[in-house]
Amino acid sequence: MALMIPCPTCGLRPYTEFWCAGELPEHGGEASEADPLETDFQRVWLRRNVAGPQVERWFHAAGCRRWLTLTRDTLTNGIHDGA
Amino acid sequence: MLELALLEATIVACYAGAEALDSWKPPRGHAERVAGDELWILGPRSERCELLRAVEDSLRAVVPGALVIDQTDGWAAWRLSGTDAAHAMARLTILRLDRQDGRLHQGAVAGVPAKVILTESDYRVFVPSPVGHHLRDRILEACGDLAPTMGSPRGFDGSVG
Amino acid sequence: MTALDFEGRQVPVEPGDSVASALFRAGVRVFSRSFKYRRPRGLYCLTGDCPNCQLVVDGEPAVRACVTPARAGQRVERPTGWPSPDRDVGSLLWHLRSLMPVGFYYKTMLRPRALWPMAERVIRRLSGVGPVARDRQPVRRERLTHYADCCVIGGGIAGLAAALAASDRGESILLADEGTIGEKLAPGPARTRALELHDALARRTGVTILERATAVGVYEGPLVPIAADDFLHLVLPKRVVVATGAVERHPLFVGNDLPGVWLGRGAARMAGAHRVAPGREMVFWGATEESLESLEVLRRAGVVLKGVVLPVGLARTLNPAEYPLIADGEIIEARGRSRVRSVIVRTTSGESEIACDLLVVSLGLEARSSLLRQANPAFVTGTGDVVEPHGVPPEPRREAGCFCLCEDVFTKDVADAWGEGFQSTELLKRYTTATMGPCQGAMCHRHLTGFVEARTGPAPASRATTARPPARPIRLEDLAAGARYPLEYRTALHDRHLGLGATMEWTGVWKRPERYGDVLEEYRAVRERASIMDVSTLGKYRIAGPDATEFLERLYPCHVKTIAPGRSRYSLLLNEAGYVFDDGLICALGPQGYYVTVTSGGADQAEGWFRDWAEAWSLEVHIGNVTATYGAINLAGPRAREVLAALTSEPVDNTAIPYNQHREVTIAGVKCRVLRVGFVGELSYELHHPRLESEALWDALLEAGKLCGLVPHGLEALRLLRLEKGHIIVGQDTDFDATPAKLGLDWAARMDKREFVGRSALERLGRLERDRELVPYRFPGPGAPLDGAQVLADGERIGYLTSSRFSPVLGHGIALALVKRTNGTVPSTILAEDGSGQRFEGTRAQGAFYDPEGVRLRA
Repeated sequence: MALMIPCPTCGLRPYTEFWCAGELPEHGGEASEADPLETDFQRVWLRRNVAGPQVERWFHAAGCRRWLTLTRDTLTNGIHDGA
Repeated sequence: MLELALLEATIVACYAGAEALDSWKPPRGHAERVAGDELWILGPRSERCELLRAVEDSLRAVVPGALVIDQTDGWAAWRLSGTDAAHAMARLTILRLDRQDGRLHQGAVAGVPAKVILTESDYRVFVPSPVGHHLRDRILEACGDLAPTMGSPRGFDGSVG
Repeated sequence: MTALDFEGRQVPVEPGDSVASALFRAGVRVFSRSFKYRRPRGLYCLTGDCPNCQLVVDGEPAVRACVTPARAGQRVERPTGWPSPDRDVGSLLWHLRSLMPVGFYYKTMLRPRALWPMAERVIRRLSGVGPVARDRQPVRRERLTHYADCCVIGGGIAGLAAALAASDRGESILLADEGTIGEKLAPGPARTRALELHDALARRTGVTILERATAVGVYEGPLVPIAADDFLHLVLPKRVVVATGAVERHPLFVGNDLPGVWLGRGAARMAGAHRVAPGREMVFWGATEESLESLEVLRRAGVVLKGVVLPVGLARTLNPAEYPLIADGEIIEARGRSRVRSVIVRTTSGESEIACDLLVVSLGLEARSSLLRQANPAFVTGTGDVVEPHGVPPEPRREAGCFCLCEDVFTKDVADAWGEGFQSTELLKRYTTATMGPCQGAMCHRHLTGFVEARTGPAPASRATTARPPARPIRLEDLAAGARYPLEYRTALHDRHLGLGATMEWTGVWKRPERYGDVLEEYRAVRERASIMDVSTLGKYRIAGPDATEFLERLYPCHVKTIAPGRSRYSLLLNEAGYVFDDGLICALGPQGYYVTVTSGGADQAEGWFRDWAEAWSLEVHIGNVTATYGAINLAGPRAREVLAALTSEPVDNTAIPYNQHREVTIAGVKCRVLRVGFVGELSYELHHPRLESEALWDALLEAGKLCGLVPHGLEALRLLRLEKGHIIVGQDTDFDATPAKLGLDWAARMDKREFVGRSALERLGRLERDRELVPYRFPGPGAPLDGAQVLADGERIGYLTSSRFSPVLGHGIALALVKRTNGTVPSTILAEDGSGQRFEGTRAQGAFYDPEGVRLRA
């Protein structure tokens, strides 16, 4: 309840209204033809898991039901809008 | 004093690009922006067919590929009114309902995803129809000490149906 | 006369009494027995900080009697002590303390292991603060949300002043105090001032004052949950002011926990506010100006002064003729068995013993800083005594009495723990459990940091331990406020199912009929005649827009472009790792785009999945979630067409609605999208219709179905029917890492497509040896193993049965098994062993046990 997520549509809402998809993989969601299988493996399975600002995807399941991207500091939980 | 009543509304959901929805003028009904690419047109239940047709014709004229769906059946709407209505809402949700910034209030009410429209006289709470019963039960339970009364169903324009 | 019930006797209650004061006036001196040694404990702080007066009030344990108002008819009892709290056999434990040094439970009672259950039972009886009353009904509370600019925690002078100042600046205020305003102060100038400020604040607008409301913690947000008897108040302020004040320092000397030893404020309050003298003959040990105020209150209450120990500076301000002054002295021991009988005072000239029945100690303050230390300084500030510097407590002697009152940790224990190598506050806390009791270190935290700092100097090892919520003990029922029965999603036919006597079961968040009566009857109706099932829970989506086809083509592993309007295609949904997480139908609508279904369990998540990819690919596609908007009823059975024809004038023969196709048809006056599907292996029509018309459609089908003995079927029948066709249920027959190949559904992933979600993963996995596979097996019967039965081959466990049933139409058992492959194959014979102890011999079978050509569903 306490961690508040800034939804661009609905405003500041408690994190319990969202699904967190976690860290955005470096290559985003593009289906690139040039992706060798190894890069694809890394994109699907590996995350950097930094101690510090992390770009994340959140889905406002109890509200507008749209995705948002934000930067959250994993040490302080401080949130900045946008990637 | 607290009264709870079913609200009968038509919901026509329009899905199109954000810029298109920004500039489009709905031909009739009450518009609420659910998301950048989703706009609801609300009206009385009695005008369901006309509203759907009018909205569809109007939007398709500017955005041929737009998706227009009659979402009326997907939502259960309840109307909460009376002097204790604001307090009752404070028991059910942490949505900041006194905020007046033009945004549709969307978030969890009584534990279910909800959209809340404030008017001068009431709170209109829309929840997915499979949990319409839950909202009613929770309101009656959480506000039992306020002796809520069940009113007869109301139409979206305020008429008692 | 108002009275409360204390352990069977009536105790009078006077106006303004707390439970503690009423009991004390009636002569109660031992209020509790300590946690480990069952030492007698009496009233001490009278401010709700120490654990000594925790009683069971009206069945609720751990109620701090000194801050709980006494009411007529309350039932009060002390939780521990046998045969009685006053004379407790458990007090013998003190004499066995050399057998129970600090951390003894880490070193003893390890062997023989078999004795542990008994030892545990004994320990549970001996320790703790009493049993929970099982017959007490929990109180159901609600939550109440408050928004405010500033939340002030603590209604003392500092808190009230801060609230007024903030209100002057135009901020909206919520102020909460865990008691009533002014109640912790003895009558005097401070109390008068507090009440004045309270009046002024209460008259302002935009101010909410909560009394008897305890702040649970300061969470990020900020969010301050405040527990009170009426609600769990959830306060969401912009900033928080912590004004929780300070508690008087808990002194360390031998016998410091005896009944009869009081802190100054507590004694003054008992004498001044409740008008009961805490004792007859008092030794007073003070150190500050405030001490003198408390001393004065006690003197006026008529307590005889046997000794007044003060620092020289303060001592000089008093008249030695009126006060038996002892300058620069120190109390080193309080003597007595179950109450104070004398104290030992040490001065430069030596030690002397003074007989007394009351020792009042007032040595300065310790901030109640827990809430302040929990919180993010970005939006929390402190004011008043909670942030004033109060000096460091003196270094205690090795034998200096009780260190942590809550957990019965003595100073010797802390010194021993240090000697054993636990040389930081965090380690000492965990090893001795000091500061881990109900007061969470309010009385002893500073002693702990001081103890370490005296040995290490200011260092990380001497840092204050992490403060965490709750700051005060909180009831579980407070935390449960607003939480009720589990959320139940219902279809529009819910009442119909109940009316037909259905047994409802949970599938995810939905309630669905498991059966209406006899499962075999329902099954036979589907196989032989006709039957209906409520499948409204299916996920349903409208996909439209210029890029709709491209979107689905990239998302699904099947070909989408080739689905002609009016046709449907069954497809799996894969995630990026190539694993199956959902399945459903894609129905092409022509220019209007697509109508897509997914499993009931995945209905909600699908929206997130669709929208994320649409955004990632920047496609112009519009997604409408119509899961709740449409209901769906599956009409299935060899005579289904007859029933359908009876309800519509439109053609419904095999050419009008062929298998794997869909049409818009009006059935019984309801506009439906009819999907020909084949999940149960018979001629089936899935009727998707506006939700509000479900009941009308259901009733019409039941009525028309009378011509052929139609009855509805539930989930249990469904599980059997689809298993006979070898059809998987995602989540039942799939594990998180099921690829299409593992499921024997290679055809579902079209590797000839340039790309789709999961394609690279499948390509990569295709180069590896497949480790497990979903394989159909048959069992001769009678009977069949249960779901989950272990599968053995050559004596080795190689997997389990994901689904297993006895098939009536085939006359033998059938199952799907997830088994390990060895040498590139799966065994042709297996043994299945379920919990019933039976073993079943199985042989490998074809996927579709029943009607493998699919003749019946294509009829």
